[in-house]
Amino acid sequence: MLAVVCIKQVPDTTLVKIDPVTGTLIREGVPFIMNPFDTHALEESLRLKDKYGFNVVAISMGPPNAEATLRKALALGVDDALLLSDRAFGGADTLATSLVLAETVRRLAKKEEVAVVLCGKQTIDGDTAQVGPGIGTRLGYSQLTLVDRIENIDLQTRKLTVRRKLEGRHEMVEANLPAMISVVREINRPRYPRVPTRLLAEEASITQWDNKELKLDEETVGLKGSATQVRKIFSPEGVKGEILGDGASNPEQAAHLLIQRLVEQGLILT
Amino acid sequence: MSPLSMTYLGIPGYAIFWVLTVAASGLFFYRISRLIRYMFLGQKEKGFSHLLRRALKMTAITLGQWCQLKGITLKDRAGIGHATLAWGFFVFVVFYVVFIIIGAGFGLSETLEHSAFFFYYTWVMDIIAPIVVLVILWAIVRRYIVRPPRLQGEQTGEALVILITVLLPPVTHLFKIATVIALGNPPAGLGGALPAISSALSNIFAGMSTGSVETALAIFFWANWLVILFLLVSIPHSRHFHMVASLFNIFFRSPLPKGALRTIDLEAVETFGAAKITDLSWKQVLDLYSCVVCGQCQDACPATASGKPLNPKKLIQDLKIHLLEAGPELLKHRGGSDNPGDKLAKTLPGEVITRDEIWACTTCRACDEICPLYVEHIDKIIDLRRNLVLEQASLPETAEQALRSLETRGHPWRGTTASRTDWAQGLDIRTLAEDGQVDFLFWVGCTGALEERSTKISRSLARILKLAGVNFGILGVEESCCGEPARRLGNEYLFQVQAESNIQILQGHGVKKMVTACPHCYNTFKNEYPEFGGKFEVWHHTELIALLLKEGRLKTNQGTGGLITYHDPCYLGRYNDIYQPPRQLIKSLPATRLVETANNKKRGFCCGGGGGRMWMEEESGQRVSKLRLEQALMTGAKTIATACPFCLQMLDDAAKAGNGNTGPVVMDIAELAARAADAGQD
Repeated sequence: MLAVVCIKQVPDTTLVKIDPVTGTLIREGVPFIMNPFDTHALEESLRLKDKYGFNVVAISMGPPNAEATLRKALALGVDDALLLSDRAFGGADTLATSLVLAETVRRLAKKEEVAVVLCGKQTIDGDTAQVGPGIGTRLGYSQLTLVDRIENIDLQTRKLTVRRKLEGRHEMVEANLPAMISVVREINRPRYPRVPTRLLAEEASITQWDNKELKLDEETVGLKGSATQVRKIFSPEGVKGEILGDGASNPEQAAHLLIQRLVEQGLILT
Repeated sequence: MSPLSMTYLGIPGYAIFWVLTVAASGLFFYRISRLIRYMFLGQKEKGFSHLLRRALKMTAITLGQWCQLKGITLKDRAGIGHATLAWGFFVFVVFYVVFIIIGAGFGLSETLEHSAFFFYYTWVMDIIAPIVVLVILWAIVRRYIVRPPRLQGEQTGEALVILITVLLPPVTHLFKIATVIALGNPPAGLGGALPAISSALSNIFAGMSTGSVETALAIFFWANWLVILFLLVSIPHSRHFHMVASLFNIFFRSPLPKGALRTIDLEAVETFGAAKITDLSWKQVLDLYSCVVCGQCQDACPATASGKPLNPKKLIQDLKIHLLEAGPELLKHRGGSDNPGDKLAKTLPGEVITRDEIWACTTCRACDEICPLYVEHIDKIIDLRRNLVLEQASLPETAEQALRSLETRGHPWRGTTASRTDWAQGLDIRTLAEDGQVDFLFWVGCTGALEERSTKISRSLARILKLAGVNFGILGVEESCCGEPARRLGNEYLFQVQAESNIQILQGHGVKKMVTACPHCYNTFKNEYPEFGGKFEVWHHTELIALLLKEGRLKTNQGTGGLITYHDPCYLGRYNDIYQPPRQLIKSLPATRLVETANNKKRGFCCGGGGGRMWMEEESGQRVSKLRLEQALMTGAKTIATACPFCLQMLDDAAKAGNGNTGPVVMDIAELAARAADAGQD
């Protein structure tokens, strides 16, 4: 059985600043990292490997340098890593991305039965949370989003039970395999890489598939296959608030003023 | 008549003497051979050169008892006692070899004891023996009645046996000589006065018959020799063994600078760090053999003092006890590709030494520095950390987060959104990419660039350098962590990655000289990068500021300093012996008096931030920084000066936690200099 984990290499957005003039990201000196949510999906896939003996394949669509991020997945112990890289894939939105990833899973499934596809809830650069569901939908897999615990996978009955983290409550869901699972950060604490595995990962060759391999219609991938396009990126202008009272000398009065203002604006009810 | 010429129940004295002596020596050497075999279960060591210099140093340290003299303080004078005992012991050893083994043993007593040498030597022994007795009585009183903190819980049977085996030889010796004198055979020589003490003691035997005195002589002779043989056997079976092991331990001291850790050849090793006792090197095992449980390391350790589970003395003892337990089995199963002996030995991190002990160390080197036997503790702790991190990927979460940040963002300060050059805004500082023609690279360091309080050190230093006309530049975005936190936290892999990449960048810019305000970066560049091919002239900012003062390029004549105490950063002081330059700067300030804390210079007490502890929670005991702050406050100083961004932050936090804004001011040397030189401020 196979667990496929989808990984994206993203710029460390906490360090990204936007050039106010050109409206583009200032990438200089900003390191690439594995999308933080994906590190949890990766960890969960490794736990499934430990628990159920799944083979784990990490896949990533991105430019050739995304290989570095896949190497990190190998360093943590995935069995195989596969980079989907082709100029034609560039500029893809979530629709076009999920197509490439889904097709990849489909091809992998021909060789070995896929039990689960794991994704991070969302990426920190796009923040759409659409790619995981996109893959699940395209493949016709059970779709389990916002999972914070995989309770059990029953390989006999081909069913799994997960817990979803929703606003203010949890939801236990039972579904059929195969399933697409998108995970939230609370699901686990990612392991730290062991150096022996890491040294092996440095040497490992990473398979790369381009569109010759996937044979997707060029009109459906990359920028051409995208239903949405980014027109402009900008930081929302910060609106400076007002200062109410003097919290240092008279905190009580400041608190009263604050409450009064919040009530006036209908933000709290009395 | 020599007691050996007599027969005892028909057995000749010589026979008894030699049978006992050979048997005791046999036990002595057998045990030592076992210990040596255990020792060489360990890993290879490399790089011992300068053998003559090593031999001379070893001789000076042991014969001269520098090992003891270096540790004597007003509070702890035990070293005087030990040095006296050791010197006495050396004198006794010569006596035993020359006059007992060669003399009595080979029937040469008549000849040897009629020489002037014997006469003078007996005089010397006559003076030394009572001194040894007095010192031992002092030692017994100290250990069993006074019980200073470092001997708490050390009132063991083994210790008592050791003390008694040292007490008895001089006593029996004196009485033996006394009986010889009473028998009318005084040490012959030049006809001078007889040794005073033994002569006085000989009066006890004055009224006795010759036969009785001869019996007494025999009793004292045999008692003396039996104690000596017992002592001989006990040496390799007890902590007496330090007198053998430490000779070699001092001889084979690490050839690395004292601030440097051993480098792991990541491509070649089978095990990363120390998982089993056999993963220690033979030199590290020699450290274990050398430990005499004196507890000076325990007294010096900030982790122990603040109630953490780590105690450097216990660490060494626990490893030693485990080796002696596992040793016989390990030897049996030695060799072969699947060595079952490996399964017999416990896992060191976790089973022999707890994780909490391993992570509590601040790597401040107080233990290594104070140890009279030159035992190294930190290298073992780091090897244990290396195994936990590299092999088991098991480390405290906070440390892990710092390392993850270091790896992805090039610095351990997770959470910061500042860039490498934000601190320099408005100071007009060039990067080497803009202009490489500089005399000094100012290596800002992660903390100096990104941690808010510490950026003031960087700004102050930059202002001083500008004022003094030093031509310098920074790396800006090209600067990355020197790797020190990774190395001290056990991630040798990450350290090597950082070191190699930094060296490439530095060499790419043709950097020859660099200055940094961070002792941790300083130590890493100076003592650890050379092994990776990065050889630079590294200056700590305290050294450069002191030079600028001396050359008159900087004048610190503004404002008043008041009463200032200086906190020695471990990585500047103990690691690199830089004690004076920061003090020179303080003394140069107007209207200033420098007052020292009780623990200063070599005995400086850690701030708690070394060894990666800067990024870890201090979960048990008191805060090390609080203890250090209290020591500093005892001086009455209102300003605590230091020269390390970690120390600054730890002490600053401690001061604010204790006293809000009314506590002492904690300042870096660069800030003091900038203020007094009127270099401008924020």
